[in-house]
Amino acid sequence: MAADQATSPAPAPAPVGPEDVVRVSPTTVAGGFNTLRVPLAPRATWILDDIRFALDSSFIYPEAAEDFALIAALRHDHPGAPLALFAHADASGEEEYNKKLSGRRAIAVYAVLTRRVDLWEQLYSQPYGNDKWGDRELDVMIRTVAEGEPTTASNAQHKAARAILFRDYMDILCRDLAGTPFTLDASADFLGGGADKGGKGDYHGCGELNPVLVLSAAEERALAGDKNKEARAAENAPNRRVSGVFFEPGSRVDVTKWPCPRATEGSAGCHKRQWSDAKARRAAGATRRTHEIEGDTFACRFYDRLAREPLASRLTLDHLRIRLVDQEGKPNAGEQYGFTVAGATASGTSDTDGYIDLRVPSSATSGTLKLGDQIVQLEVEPLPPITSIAGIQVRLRNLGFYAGAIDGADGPQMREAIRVFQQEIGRRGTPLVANGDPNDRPTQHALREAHGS
Amino acid sequence: MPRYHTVQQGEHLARIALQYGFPDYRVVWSDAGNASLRELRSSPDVLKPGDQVFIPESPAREERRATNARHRFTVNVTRPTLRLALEGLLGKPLRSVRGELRVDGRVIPVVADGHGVVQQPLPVGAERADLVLSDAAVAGGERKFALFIGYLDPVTEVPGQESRLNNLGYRAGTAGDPKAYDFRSAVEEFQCDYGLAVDGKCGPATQKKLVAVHGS
Repeated sequence: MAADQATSPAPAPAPVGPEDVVRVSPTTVAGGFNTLRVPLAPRATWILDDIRFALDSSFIYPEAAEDFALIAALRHDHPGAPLALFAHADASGEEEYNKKLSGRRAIAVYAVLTRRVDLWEQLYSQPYGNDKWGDRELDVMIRTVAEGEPTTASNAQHKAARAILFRDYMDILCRDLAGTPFTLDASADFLGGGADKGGKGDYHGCGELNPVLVLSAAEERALAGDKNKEARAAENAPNRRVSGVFFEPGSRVDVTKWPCPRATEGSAGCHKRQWSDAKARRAAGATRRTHEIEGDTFACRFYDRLAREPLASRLTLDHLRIRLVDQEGKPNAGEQYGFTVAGATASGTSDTDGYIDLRVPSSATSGTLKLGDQIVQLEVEPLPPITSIAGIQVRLRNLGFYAGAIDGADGPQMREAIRVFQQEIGRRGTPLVANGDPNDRPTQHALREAHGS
Repeated sequence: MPRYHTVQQGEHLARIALQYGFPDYRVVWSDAGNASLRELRSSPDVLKPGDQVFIPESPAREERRATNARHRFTVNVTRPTLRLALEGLLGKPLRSVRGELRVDGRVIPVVADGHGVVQQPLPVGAERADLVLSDAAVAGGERKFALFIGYLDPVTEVPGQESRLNNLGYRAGTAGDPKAYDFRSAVEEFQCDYGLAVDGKCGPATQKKLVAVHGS
């Protein structure tokens, strides 16, 4: 049984990067030396999308439990790898406001991971602009907590009661794939080690500086004005996110040398770190641009460098639906199963039609499904980046355009498949030049869209 | 007979000089025939492939000894030293860090001093050494670096700029193209960290600072 529908990039094998090759001079003259500085090396990226937050708010919805489970899986795959959080906003509104709102989202996520209910109490008791936690948020938490344990409905108007509610709600948000709550250690599990009270090296708000998507000038014009506010916000949703970057195990930074300002501070400290052509990067051009394909959309040079690392591609939680049938093809309903992936075992029973739903981190290459005495090994194929030849081959194959080898080599069979894809998509309304070129950016955009990832 | 030697990648003056029978490379470096080379390259440790080194008349030394006896002659060869300032993330010196250096099949234990500097004399012919740092202070616990000795090009050349930026952890890549994305990113980060005007171009002021920070 092969599960080849995994749909996001998995880490490539560790390459011999330029950092491993050190060209030095011999020293025969006085005062001469060579410096060998260990670089910051990201190993994986986790993202919490805008949809997991209340509108314009730092309040996290219960559905985010899906994403927090992936953090547990990532930690299993990268033992000892410390985390740093970077929250991002879109470009509507004031830069200063966006910086602080994103900072509050970073604080909110950090607080969940470390169970810092005091930080949530600060977010609750000190509203900022539209980010006001109120009765609606308390209600979501009470209802969520009550479903798990029907006894905790509390009067959350009192601080002490809120602390219990926050803590219980965090325990529901932050669970591994088997459903066991987990926490991160503020000193051992974060890049800055909690050495700075304001979270330098641990959690940051980047504001609007680093959009993953920059709309075209024509799209911007079409979405201008107050009446299009919602549509514009919807288009920009991918830009509003919290990214968690996992670094090489054992990495720890000196927080006094860390370039980012604190999550609660304004954007002044970010300016120094911007690309010299930061304005042009964020400006709308003739076509829409993405960080994944064009690569030149981030204004912060420091963060851009971290995000450009080949091993820093985003990991996701993929859903795998499997139907259990007997010899005659009848569904096996109510059959118990255990599914082990990334060190956690989730168990359950198949539904009346024999279906079971499994969650697989995109970093996993295999999982073990246990059905009674039977053990089934599931193999998962990683999806290479859209900007690589192999990434194009896999997507073309999954869409039925290509039947050749997934070998990462540019060849006539793949080029012919690209040409057919370009003609087909052209017929559906987005005109593409049928040039068969794997490096053609409009084609990469269209292929990524058609494939869904 | 005097002649010229064309420098190849990986060569440095101490090794070239010995090849032509000069145990002390300074005799070659200070020769009048190398005046223009000295002007072009500030250090005999950092030459560019293609540079022309003037090789003066061979320094034949006359020693008289009786025949029919065994004699011992000693030649003092200037040995280059590998001098490495080891730094952790964001430039924190790796004081007293431990590791080992593997060179020509030998394993030499090394310890950084109180400034994070490791010093180790090397055989003049050594071109490749592997440095393994195994210390909790180093991210990753154990890290291996492939050192190519004599491969550092002058800072006036793009490959020389890339190497220094890479050694300093800026990830400039090895494209050899000053317009390459990673190279511009690395140059700007370096300029930003060291208080220079940030323009992504590795001009004279940036080159000077690169040599000062890198140490060569």
